[in-house]
Amino acid sequence: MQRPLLEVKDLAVDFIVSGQKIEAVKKISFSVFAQETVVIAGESGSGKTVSCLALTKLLPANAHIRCGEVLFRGRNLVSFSEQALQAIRGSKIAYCFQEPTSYLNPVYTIEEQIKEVLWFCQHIKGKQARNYAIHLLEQVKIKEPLRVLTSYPHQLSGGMNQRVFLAMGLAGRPELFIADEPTTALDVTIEQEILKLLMDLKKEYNFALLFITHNLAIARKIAQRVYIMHQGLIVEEKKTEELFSNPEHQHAKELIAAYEKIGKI
Amino acid sequence: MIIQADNISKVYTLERGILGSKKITIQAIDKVSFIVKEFTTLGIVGESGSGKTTLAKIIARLLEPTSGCIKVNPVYIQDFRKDVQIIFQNPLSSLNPKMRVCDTLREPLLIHRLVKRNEEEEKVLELLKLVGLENNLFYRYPHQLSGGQRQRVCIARALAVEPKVLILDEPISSLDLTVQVKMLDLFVQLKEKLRLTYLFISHNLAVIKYVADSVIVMKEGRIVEEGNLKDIFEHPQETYTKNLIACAGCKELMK
Ligand SMILES: Nc1ncnc2c1ncn2[C@@H]1O[C@H](COP(=O)(O)OP(=O)(O)OP(=O)(O)O)[C@@H](O)[C@H]1O
Ligand SMILES: Nc1ncnc2c1ncn2[C@@H]1O[C@H](COP(=O)(O)OP(=O)(O)OP(=O)(O)O)[C@@H](O)[C@H]1O
Ligand SMILES: [Mg+2]
Ligand SMILES: [Mg+2]
Repeated sequence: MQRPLLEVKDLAVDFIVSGQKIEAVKKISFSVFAQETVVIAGESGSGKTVSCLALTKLLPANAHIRCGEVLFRGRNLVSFSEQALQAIRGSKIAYCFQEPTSYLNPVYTIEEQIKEVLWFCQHIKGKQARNYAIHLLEQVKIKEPLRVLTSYPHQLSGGMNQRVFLAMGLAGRPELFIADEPTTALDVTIEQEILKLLMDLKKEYNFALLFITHNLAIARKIAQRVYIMHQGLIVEEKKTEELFSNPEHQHAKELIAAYEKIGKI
Repeated sequence: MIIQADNISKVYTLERGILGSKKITIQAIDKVSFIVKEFTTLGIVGESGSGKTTLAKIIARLLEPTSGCIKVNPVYIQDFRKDVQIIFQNPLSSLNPKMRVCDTLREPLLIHRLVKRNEEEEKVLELLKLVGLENNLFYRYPHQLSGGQRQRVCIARALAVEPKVLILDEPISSLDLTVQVKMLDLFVQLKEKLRLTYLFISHNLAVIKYVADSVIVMKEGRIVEEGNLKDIFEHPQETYTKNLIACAGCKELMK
């Protein structure tokens, strides 16, 4: 059988806060195959973001990977040096973070930030990079790409920043794209377009997608498999359709019930 | 009337090049007027970049409009800083990174002298409970919380001062649906209990349907559609509104 592109085994992450240990992620295992779309869904605070950040050791200083392996193409990233990881982030494994406005660099324009990714990951620069940046912004349905390029993050709206961040992630042409709630600031009409774009680009560039969301409607639309997280554990793993027809864990049932209810909110 | 927006416009100017030779202007808000009735919820929808957040900041007096003015009814609003609270779209950047959750929630209580010193802690714990957060987040810094936890700390902070008007800019978008429903129920409940007035910005029509009495639809800085909820849902005029309603899941909404 083919080996997964990403294979996480017994990963556990602890935080230390005022001398106390918090077990945010408790020995979880999951995998993503090349070109596959996998969704991790779960309630707020269940450990979705922390698990993803741990994959390339992007964790804050008070965090500690207690145990586990993160095998990317068979190599264990947990044992990699910071320098080696930097070569992987962006170009092999790219992220789109949950709160883009706080991760975009406030003192550089959008143009400078996208160009940096393009140079670092694809060695494109100058006029060519600028044109490519415009193309990327158009792809994520930004209406005035030229104005947005010359803007700083605080000069853009919430939904614009979210899409800029998505464009930056895609600029690296990664093998694995990790998107953490990338459409929460967008309305359904644009959300649908962005999801379609991701699916199209996936086909074109053959990357695997690990998509974090609290919205099972999205999972149903794009994912082959879904993992449900609850209080730091993965409590269920299923093919998407199976999850909907036969959820087992109580929390999976609750999430599906809420999804069925959205029409009635 | 509790708040009235009178012919509000906002133009942002971006300076370019040395000596700011090239100037770009953005008309973020273009002659917007509306009235918010006391004890009602006004929903604001509109595509990304249409000026919703800008409008919210102007109403909260955090941003000067280029022209036009905001009027408030002194019968309901005496102390603007206390009576009108805003919950921002991006929780991480609206929380002070150096303040722990307990201090974040204690500060407004202190400033507005709302509780006695020895009752502060109790009040803070009560607020956490109200928004469904556990006590063990008490000493955390904002970056030590998950996205949805931060969003709820912001909600708790706004509720701490018992405001009259609450401006909510996408207040629940990063919460899972089960928690979203809980928060919406909380808002509805508080509206009755504290006689609150809401300005509720959301891109999710299901949410607007749940909480709002009337709706404004914005596009490119202008109001392109407004009215009571039922009319807009049943007879949308704008293509944008029609698309929003036509999108997946919304059909059942009409029932
Ligand atoms: N730096 C930190 N120090 C201490 N605890 C933390 C830190 N970062 C996160 N946590 C805690 O770890 C748990 C998991 O957080 P995480 O951000 O992974 O949740 P999530 O599933 O992404 O939730 P959401 O849907 O709200 O974004 C939470 O309870 C959070 O409070
Ligand atoms: N400080 C600023 N300087 C310059 N332009 C700005 C500034 N803030 C906002 N803008 C611009 O004003 C317009 C309206 O932005 P606003 O944030 O109000 O939109 P929004 O309706 O809240 O969108 P979203 O749904 O994406 O949050 C956008 O084109 C944005 O780029
Ligand atoms: Mg998260
Ligand atoms: Mg906004």
